Amino acid sequence: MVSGTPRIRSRSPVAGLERARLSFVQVLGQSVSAVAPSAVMVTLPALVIPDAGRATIAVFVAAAILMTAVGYCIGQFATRMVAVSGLYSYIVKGLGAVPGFGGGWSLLVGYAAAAMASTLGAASYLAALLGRVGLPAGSPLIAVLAAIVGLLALLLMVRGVQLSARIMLAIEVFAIVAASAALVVAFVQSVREGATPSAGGAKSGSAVGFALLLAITSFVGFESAGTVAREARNPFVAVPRAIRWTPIALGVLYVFAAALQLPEPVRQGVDSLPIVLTLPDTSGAGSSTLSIVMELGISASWFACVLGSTTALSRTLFAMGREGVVPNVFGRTHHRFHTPHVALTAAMPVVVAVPVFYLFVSGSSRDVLIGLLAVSAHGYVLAYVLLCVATPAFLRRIGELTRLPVIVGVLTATAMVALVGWAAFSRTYVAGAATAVYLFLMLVGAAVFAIRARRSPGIEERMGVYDEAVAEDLLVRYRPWEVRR
Amino acid sequence: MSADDRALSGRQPKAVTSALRVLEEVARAGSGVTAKGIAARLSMPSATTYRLLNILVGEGYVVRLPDLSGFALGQKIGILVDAAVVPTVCAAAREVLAELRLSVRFGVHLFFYTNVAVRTADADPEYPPPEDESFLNQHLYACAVGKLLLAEKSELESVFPRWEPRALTARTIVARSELLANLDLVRSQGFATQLAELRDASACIAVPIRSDTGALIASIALSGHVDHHHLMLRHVPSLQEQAGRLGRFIA
Repeated sequence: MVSGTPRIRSRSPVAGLERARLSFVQVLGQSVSAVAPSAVMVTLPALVIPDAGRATIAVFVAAAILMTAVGYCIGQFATRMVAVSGLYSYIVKGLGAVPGFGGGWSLLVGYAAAAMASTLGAASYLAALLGRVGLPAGSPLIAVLAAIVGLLALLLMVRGVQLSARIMLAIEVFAIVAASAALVVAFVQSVREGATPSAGGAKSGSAVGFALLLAITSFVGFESAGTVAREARNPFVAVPRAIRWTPIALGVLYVFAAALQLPEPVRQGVDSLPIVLTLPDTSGAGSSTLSIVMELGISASWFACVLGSTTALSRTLFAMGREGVVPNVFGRTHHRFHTPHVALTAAMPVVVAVPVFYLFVSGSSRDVLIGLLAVSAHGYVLAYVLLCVATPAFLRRIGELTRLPVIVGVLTATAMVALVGWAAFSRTYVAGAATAVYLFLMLVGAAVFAIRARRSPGIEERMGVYDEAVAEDLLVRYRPWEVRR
Repeated sequence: MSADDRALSGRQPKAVTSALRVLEEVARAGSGVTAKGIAARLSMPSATTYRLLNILVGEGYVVRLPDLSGFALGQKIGILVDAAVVPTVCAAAREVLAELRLSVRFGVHLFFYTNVAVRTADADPEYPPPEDESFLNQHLYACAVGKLLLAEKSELESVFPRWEPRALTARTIVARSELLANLDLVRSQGFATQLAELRDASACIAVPIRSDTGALIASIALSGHVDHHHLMLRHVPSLQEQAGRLGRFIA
């Protein structure tokens, strides 16, 4: 070997995870299901339209552009390293250990809270469905269903990444089709009744800012394709492509959904308690069937989101376990299924228990859902900002910096920070509690890091593991007459 | 990845030329060369060089070293190397083969293996093998030497990206599950057979020759008429003994 070249290991630091299993479509499925677009499509009216009014479409277009820019930055990393912990390892490589850990921990909070919200979402919608056949809907039923959802998701994910990816994808396609069908029917009904687009103008500038922030949070999770990079076939091609296309495809879906929901009658009864679009009674006999299909679709979509978010969560925990940032036991993989079963088994009970506990305290699944999603959004937004800053720093470090990544990285990071500031001034900004919870969790993270760094010195050098090139990937010391396994 | 993505498009000949020049430069500069260094030596715009390097890395022709800034040739170049190497058999090995040919009434052939293919190293001039090298490589699942190679692989996909076998005779194994069972048998008994699977009348037995590390590097094959396969099977112990001797010369 040429002197001065870095030491080549014979075994990847993330060995144990399955390699080259997922097709491009399955990688895309990971990203899309972590976003749960079908749920967003039908919750749009309650989320964004009241604040943004007719500006809703513009807001979603702007959000899609911003997220595509973030995707561009992520792509700079994803074409250069196969990281199993996605943004966490990327930020470490760009900005160093401490900001990297901050971003990684923030993302863990984001994934965990998203998984919790989805578990509760799936359980609530299932409870509503069971309510149609007369089961008493209430917190105890939701708690039982949440436990079932968690257990089922855990079994699927431990059983193998390919199986869970296939299921995620099938579910998400079904859910998007169901949501679109319901929206189209509701729209056609309202137009037939002579309704015209009646959404008013935006409330105020800062309300639009808040709406934009909300719109951005309906894209989060699109980066999670990076967490299955080792498990993907052709990761340097499949992962950047999934991350590049997901925000664009989501933008199209959301704009379509928003356009259909702008007329007033479609939204009737929507921003009431259940976060679901209920079809107007006047829709006729077909409406209840359609509602059931849609509720099934939404429960399924929440379930796919549990799989997507927990997959990303477990891969990040797994990488931290391999580094020793969290206990090493998280870095183990199942000898037969090649999944990070310890990280999955440790995370799942928390993902189920927290929202159920919260539900019993607050009594409203809507409040719990919104609270958890707000905490989750905080986690993602900080990670995105750090990532955009990390992009030019990383490219500079490896000597591949060009002008475009600097411009995109700096502009996107600035825009995101400005947006958070703008939204904070909005009168509708009521995320005080979520911000406090998020900050508390970040402090817990800082404490964990401080303890681990003291216990095992040199941990900062080990951070940012990824599926690096090993001896057998290189042509050096190559023997042509030999069959390799 | 869908079939469409794999379809080759030849619309950008300039980009192909540039990519090949980048590849050549990585080979020439040796492992550890940086993107900047390559751009400078080729006087190519840096953004173009980085993009081409990332494409080559994505396809596995080039590997990014663990510091992320250095590059080296990747395993996939091995396919090009494998195609260019010529099997050479030393005199000592030829003597062993000549001895064997005198002692049996069947064709005795020596094959070498690259990672994904069989190469004829020394075919019996008196009783030539039933098919030529390229035919064997296209139908690895239907010949004894091919089955030895397949039995080494943990995944059939690494040799057959798509499983679409053709029945050459009524006995050719075309079902994937049946082939996997057959390969299990090959692994457990330590040799492979082909009984009228390649051609109606032919039979073949292949015994592996391994390196010190246990890697499959070559095989001795016995070919004859399918009606005589019981007689051929009797030679397996002596073939295995000769394979051990040949291994010392070849490995």
